[in-house]
Amino acid sequence: MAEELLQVRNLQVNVEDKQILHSIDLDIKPGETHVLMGPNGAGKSTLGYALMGNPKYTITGGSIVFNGEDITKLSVDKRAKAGMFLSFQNPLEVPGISLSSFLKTALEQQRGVRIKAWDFRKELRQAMALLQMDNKYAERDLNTGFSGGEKKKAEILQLLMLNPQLAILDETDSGLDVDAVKIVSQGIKTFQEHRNGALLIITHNTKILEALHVDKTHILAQGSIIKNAGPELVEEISKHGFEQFLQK
Amino acid sequence: MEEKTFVEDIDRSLYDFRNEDKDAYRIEEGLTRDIVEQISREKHDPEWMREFRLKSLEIYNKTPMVQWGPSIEGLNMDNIVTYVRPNTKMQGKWEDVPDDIKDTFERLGIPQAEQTSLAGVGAQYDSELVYHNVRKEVEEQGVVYTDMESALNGPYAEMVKEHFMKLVPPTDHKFAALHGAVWSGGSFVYVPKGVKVAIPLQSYFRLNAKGAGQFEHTLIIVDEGADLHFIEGCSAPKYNVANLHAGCVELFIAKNAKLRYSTIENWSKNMYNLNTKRALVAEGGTIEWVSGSFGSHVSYLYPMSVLNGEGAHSEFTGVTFAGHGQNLDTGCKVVHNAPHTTSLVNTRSISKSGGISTFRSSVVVTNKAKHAKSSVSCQSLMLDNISRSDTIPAIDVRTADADIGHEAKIGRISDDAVFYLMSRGISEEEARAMIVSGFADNVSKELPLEYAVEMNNLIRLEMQGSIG
Amino acid sequence: MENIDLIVNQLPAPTWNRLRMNESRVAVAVPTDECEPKVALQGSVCLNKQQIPRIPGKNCCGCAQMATCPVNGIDFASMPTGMGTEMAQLGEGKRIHLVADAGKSTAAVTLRYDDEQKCYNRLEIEAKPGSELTVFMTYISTASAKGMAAVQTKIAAAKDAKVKLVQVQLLGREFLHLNDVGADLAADARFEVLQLQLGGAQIYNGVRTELTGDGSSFDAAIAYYGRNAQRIDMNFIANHYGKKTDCNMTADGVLQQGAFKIYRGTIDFKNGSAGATGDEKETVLLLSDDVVNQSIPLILCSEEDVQGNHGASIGKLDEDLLFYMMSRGFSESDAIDMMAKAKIEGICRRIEDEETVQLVERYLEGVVKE
Repeated sequence: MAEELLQVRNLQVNVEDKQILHSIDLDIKPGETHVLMGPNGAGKSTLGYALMGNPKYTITGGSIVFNGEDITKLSVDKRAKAGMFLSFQNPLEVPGISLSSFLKTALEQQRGVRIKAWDFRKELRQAMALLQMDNKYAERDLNTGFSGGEKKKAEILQLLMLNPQLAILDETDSGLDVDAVKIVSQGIKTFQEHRNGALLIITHNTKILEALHVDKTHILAQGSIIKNAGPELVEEISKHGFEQFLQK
Repeated sequence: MEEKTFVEDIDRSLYDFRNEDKDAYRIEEGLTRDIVEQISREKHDPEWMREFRLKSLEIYNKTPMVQWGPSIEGLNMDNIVTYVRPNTKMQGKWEDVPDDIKDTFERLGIPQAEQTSLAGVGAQYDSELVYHNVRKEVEEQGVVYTDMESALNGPYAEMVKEHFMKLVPPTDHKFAALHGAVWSGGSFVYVPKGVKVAIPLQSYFRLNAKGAGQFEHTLIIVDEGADLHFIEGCSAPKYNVANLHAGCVELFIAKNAKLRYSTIENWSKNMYNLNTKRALVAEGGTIEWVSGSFGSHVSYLYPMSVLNGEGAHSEFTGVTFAGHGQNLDTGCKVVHNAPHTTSLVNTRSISKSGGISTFRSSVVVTNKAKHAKSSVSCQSLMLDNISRSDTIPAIDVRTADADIGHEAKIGRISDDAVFYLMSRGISEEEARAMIVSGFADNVSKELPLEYAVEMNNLIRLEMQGSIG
Repeated sequence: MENIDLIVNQLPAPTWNRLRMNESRVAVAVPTDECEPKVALQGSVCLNKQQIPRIPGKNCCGCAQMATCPVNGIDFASMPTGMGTEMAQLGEGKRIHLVADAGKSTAAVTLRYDDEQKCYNRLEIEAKPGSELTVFMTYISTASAKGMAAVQTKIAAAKDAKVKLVQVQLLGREFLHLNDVGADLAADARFEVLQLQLGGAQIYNGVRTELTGDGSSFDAAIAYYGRNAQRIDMNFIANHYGKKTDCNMTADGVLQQGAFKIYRGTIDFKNGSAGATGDEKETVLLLSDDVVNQSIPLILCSEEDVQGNHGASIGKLDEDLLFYMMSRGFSESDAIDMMAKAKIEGICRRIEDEETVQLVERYLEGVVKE
């Protein structure tokens, strides 16, 4: 049995003075795809932010171990360098910095070496082609004036370029039309299959999961994981919703 | 054009009735040392107050006129009567108030409102209060609400002396000095620790005397953890000579206390309204200003919040409607002088029929105000092509750890919105009035229902006859 | 040495004196030195260094007749500027005159200052109907130099003319810099000004544009990097007279190390400017606790059919943005540094001249080493 990539134990998280997550346990092995579902306000995004280390989300108990290292107190940039990635539900606009120079600098930070402009451009073009993104987006300011769909594509583009070991996708499918969901899902699949990346997909929509291999499914409600199951649960929820689980 | 004049007549009739001057005492016009001494004698000032008045007069004489803002050339202090005492002592029952004065306040709806929705009422007629009453249960909570003259000579004399014009010193500007010299009337409120006054107190100021000034002083102290809503209303009949209002409001909000100060100002359009309002807010305290400016010929009005304790908070919500012959320069000032202080400013101005409205503000964040947050939003609406609307906001930030935002917008009523409403069978005039009322709903939403209704009526009246 | 006291950068509508924002006073030296500008021209633009005698009301000829052209119809002398009328106290200065005929052209004007130089230069730009002129102005000295670099630039843009003025200020640490710009736009003319204020000790910068002609437009973008107790004092004014005129002003900067900055920005919709639109946006990133930031964005309006907007955002880097960038692996200081540079980057990208951009990049590298 492979080592766990991510090991979350008894995680408790507060926002300001309010406890949002109660006692979360979660194990993800390298290359596995986990789906986290649950009703609005259950604390799904909170878990994503807490795993990534947003200072607004205070960890009041428990631990997060990534690749054998306790990262509970590590700053967000160090977690990113260690191989974690969060695709934001609402990606922020970064005026003045183009998508391409942002990505190039981020990659250089990650690898600690300068990257040849030619190599970078080639890699970027390939990734953009996969996501059917117009090349001119590379020179636009990151997310600035992008539509909702373009922002989400730009997040997956960063995922493919930065190539982390674990990607947390926070409602990457929300606000996307059918075609865009397909394209984004294709990008995620590439990450899954060709990079052997592990995924924690936060969603309340099963559409994005149709083309993806899923290993495990979790339901989060009122700050606690109330059910752990295999991929069959996705099917179950898409047919009957999660009401049935909430009653228990 | 004729329709417009006709409508304005109706408009004024709500507020524009005037009584014959039957005052008991009226000081001669102008401003001299003798006049100030006389006012002091008439009012039985303690000695310190007499000295304070004379010192203020000196400051007044030395202080130059303001160099910015609307012209106040039409105001000649030599023609202003600074003290007019009504022909009655202050009463605790309406039936004891002389009929003509009582009628005035009845037409303005004050006794009726007192019955239904107020915890206490003070009514000032010209220079002095003619009526003052507080509900018994409020009085039993230890709340003090009295006229300033009684306060100066009563059990709270020391407290008054300690606070009087400490927040707005006579050196602040020329009209603060004038106020210090000739003030009379106004209210003193003290809310003891932890007392939450459930329904509002109200003071109403009526200036009836022609060519007179009103210089009331309002001093409110809300002690630790206490909570109060104070409402101020003002109106006057129109004369063809200048009247002056140079009141002063000083609000002291102690630790974790909260005060909401609401004003609907509807002075007549010959009034020079040069009023000064200021609040000092201690740790965890809150001041909320709700301010509607509809009347006056010229206004200079910028309620100021000094956030002096950690976590102190201020909100300013204002609307200014400048119509024909009006030059209303309004806004607010905020000083962030402690960590984690926050402020919100949300104002709307409307200019119509040649009126000029100016939004003027300053937000100062000192080096002490780490983690301060401030957000200012001002919107202006131009209703025609002969009016004017200016926005003059100043921001001064002296700490890096701050988050200061400002946005301003100016524009006109959208033709699409008018068309949409008209397509539902609403007349153009009504449609425009609805849109303007909606534009000003930042303030009406914050007012008690009766006052919101009054404010919307004012807007409706101002908007009548605005087509064509 | 004799000094002249000037009142400059006056707000078009004053406010409380105690805020000290209404105007600025600056003591300047009497200009004593000549700073000969280096001028390189391309396309249909030509240069006249002579003092042209002026007979108002007569039209000047274009480039072809320049040598024999004795008169000039444009009254540059009375064209208002951002810093105000007291600039006239600096005297005549050293004046050059550019005329751009229809078609595309560029002019590069480099002012290189020696240590202790005190100069006043004037540039007049006449953009003929249909001309498209880009003017690169670079002010430069050694890093430690001190002195005074006063420059006044006036632009008369005729119908359909497009003038883009790029001003890059890379002066030494102890320079006093006065940069005064005035422009008058005829119908459908466009004036774009891009400024990078990077060097100097005291910078007074005023830009005023009269949008006289219907459909004219004005776009001003400035970025600054205030540090070392610099004073950056600005006054931007857009006066809308013509119908459907448009202005767009942005100021974007960073303040640290005791720097002081005041930005005055005024959009003035005059009566008659129906259909006009104006936008003003300021962002200031505060990086140390000893800085002073003053902002006073005015919208003055006496026309109903207009749309004006202003937005300002002042403070430290937004926490959510910082988290987003750090989640991609940037350390806090790298993220802040990137955002600071992005402000200058944003202007550089619009400069469209490799040489100027490289000059800025080299200068910034030097600043980082300091």
